[in-house]
Amino acid sequence: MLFFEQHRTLEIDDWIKDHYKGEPIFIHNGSVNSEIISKCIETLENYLKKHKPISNPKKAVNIAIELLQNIYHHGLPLNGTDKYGVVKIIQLNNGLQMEFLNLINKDKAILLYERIQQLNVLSKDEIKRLHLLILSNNEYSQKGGGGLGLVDVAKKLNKKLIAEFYPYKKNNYFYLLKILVN
Amino acid sequence: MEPIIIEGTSKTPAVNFNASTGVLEIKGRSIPENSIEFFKPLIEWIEKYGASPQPKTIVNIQLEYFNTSSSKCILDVFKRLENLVNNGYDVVINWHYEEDDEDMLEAGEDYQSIIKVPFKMIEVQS
Repeated sequence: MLFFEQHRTLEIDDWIKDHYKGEPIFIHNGSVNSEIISKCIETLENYLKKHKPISNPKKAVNIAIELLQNIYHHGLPLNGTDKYGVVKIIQLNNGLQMEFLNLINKDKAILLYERIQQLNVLSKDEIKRLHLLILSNNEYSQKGGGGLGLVDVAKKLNKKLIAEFYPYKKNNYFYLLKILVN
Repeated sequence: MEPIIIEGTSKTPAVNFNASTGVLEIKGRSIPENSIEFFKPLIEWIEKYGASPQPKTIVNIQLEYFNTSSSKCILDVFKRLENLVNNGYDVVINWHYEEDDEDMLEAGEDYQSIIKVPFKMIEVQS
């Protein structure tokens, strides 16, 4: 499906309330600042340490750190909330469902859509090579990672990324990334 | 040359760079929102140390987590250490990883493939 063929809308409140019959571990709807990132990581780590629900808890925490900081660096404001984002972490029977939503402009949405499409057709070895290439290319982005974040998540996850884009007003999109770690 | 000693926090690692012993250590978490700001003085310190280093420099890296912006900065640290090797000095990077943390082991191997400095992979109990 081409990017412009997606015309779905997202009822954010309904989506936040839907816990897929699992156990909610961390839900946040609002500004994603440094304190919220710390709180989310601490909550997730404590839960994983206590309940040991997945075989590689560090992988889940690493991915959560990267995607939380992605919202921190790239999220647009919404309704007076700076760096607006929604974070939803749910324990399901088959793993840990982590979902991250933020608002981005149309150009960035198209760029991300294309990048995710490209990543999803690469093999594990190809993603590893791409990761090495970006890591060693001497380029820094304004936020420091030089475009490495999503590739790093794909490398750690070792499965296809599931991303959804929902139009919001004229030139913005909600970008929703759904990750299952098991 | 004055050492760098920085206490670790929930988002930044503990750092102990000692020019008189030639031992450089980074331990803990490196997940700050602004990694460049944190690593800049460390990289500058190594550049100064490079003017008169110990015959052998031992680098101990023991990270629990690091974000992608830190990964670029860590590579910059290693590139400064590579300069020491190019100038004829001995450097070894001891890359510690917890026994069940395959991502951390792989990250060390990635650096090893980029940087021409001897790496020693050291498994530690989690």
